[in-house]
Amino acid sequence: MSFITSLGDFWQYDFLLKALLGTIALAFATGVISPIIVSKRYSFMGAAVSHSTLFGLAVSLTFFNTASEQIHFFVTLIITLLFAMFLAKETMKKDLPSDSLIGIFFSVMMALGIIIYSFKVDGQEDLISFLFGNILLLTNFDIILLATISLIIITCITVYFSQWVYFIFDPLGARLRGIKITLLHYLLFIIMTTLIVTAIKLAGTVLVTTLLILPGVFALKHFNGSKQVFIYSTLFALVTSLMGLAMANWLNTPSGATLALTQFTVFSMSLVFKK
Amino acid sequence: MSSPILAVNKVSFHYSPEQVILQDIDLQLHQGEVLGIIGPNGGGKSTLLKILVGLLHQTSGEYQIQGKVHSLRTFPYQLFGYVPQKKELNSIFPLTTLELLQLEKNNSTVTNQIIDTAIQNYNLTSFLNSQINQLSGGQLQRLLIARTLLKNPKILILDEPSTGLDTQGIDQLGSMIKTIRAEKKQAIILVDHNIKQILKYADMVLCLNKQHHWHDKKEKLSKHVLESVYHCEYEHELIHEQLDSSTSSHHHCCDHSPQEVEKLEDES
Repeated sequence: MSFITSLGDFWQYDFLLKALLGTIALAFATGVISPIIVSKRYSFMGAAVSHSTLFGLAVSLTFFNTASEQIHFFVTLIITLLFAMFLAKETMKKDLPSDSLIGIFFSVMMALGIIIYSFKVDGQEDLISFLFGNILLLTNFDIILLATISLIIITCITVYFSQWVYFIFDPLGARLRGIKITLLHYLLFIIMTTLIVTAIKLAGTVLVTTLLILPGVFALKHFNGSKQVFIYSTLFALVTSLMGLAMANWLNTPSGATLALTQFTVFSMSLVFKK
Repeated sequence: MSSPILAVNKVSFHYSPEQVILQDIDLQLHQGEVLGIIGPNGGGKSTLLKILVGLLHQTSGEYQIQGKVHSLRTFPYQLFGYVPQKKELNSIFPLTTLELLQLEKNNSTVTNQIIDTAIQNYNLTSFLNSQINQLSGGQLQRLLIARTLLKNPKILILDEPSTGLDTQGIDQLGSMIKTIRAEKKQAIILVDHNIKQILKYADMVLCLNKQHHWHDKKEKLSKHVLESVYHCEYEHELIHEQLDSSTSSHHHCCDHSPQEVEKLEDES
């Protein structure tokens, strides 16, 4: 089957259409938030949060014996948010270097998740699916959730755009202008965590980090000016995610991994062409 | 005389009782006055400025702005323009000069016309579309002062503005201070290692080394006096120790004449 013919699958199969809609929503959200995460040097903070979702998931799947995906989503979200708030508080205090904090919690939370999940006797869900994403698991609830979260993130960043730019570029100047930078700091961790938890099924806890980082790195590397950075980061996320999803379907490869690799390939090519 | 715009009364600050940063500081600043602050590193200059601009709250004492006491929550940030010594600007984010100025439009009093005037007055045209993290020290200093002045603050605080500037940059800064003072009648606090700058522009000089004393009669200050405070910390502290042991007050007249320093050295 040719690549062009394979594109028709997205209209033919319901699960692929859901994956397409979910990918578009995820691309918009990651594209908009990525320049903030990269500029504030929180890239690995995103990785620490995304790995800790596994702990929340394991607790939910082990101790809440229900098929309700809403319950699993909210339990995972609450547990991960608690962890993210701890990280947000510690990075604000700057007592410990943030890379040490990430080093401590990155693997510990994942290990805890795997141990807790091992207590589950009647394991039906495959934890590996959550590590690397599985578009077959996507439901209507996931799509609505992804679209809602994306809309909230885009609104939150565009409405308060100048405050976010001040927060990124000159936090001291922001404080002197009465901008609540502590509030923005915590808000960033909250929206980043919510997006990660929502995107687990589509991209996986391990691979969602790439989607949070690469669009911002691409835009910051190639463009001048704050608005351009946010616009091109979102365009990059959108185009490469759609390309990745189409490639995954054509080559029959895992969606999260293909999305991440496509983004990386396009970014690498952009560096070559820039030279 | 009109009531002061800033009044600091016996303000102290410490992180712990053993680690006193400032003790019993008094100062008053009126509209149109220029206060110069000098002192050795670790003498509390930056801490005092942080208290003045609402980034820290004093551990004791009273700080009034336009006759009112404020907490950090109700602090009138709009009255202040602060250009810090340490520029903690993000080195990754590619913000341009023009964009930084336009961010001030969030403040309702700043219009495009005010921004255009500032661009002309502070000679920012040549690097208007350049990334800020690629500007020279002098260009960055001009930009940050211009940005601070856009909202027309009543009190302008410049923390070591001549750091990193060449002679031409220092001259430009000097004429900028003169213009601000003459045209806008703002109160200015100037902290500088460059003693010449302080002597040239300040009406009164606060020498700060955790405690403080006033040299409010500027005409009595010689370059040697100021250099002895700043550059010859050993001699200065020696004089203080001698004087403090004979009087209980922290407020005293300093005699930093070469003869006095020599005499104390002989005694020690």
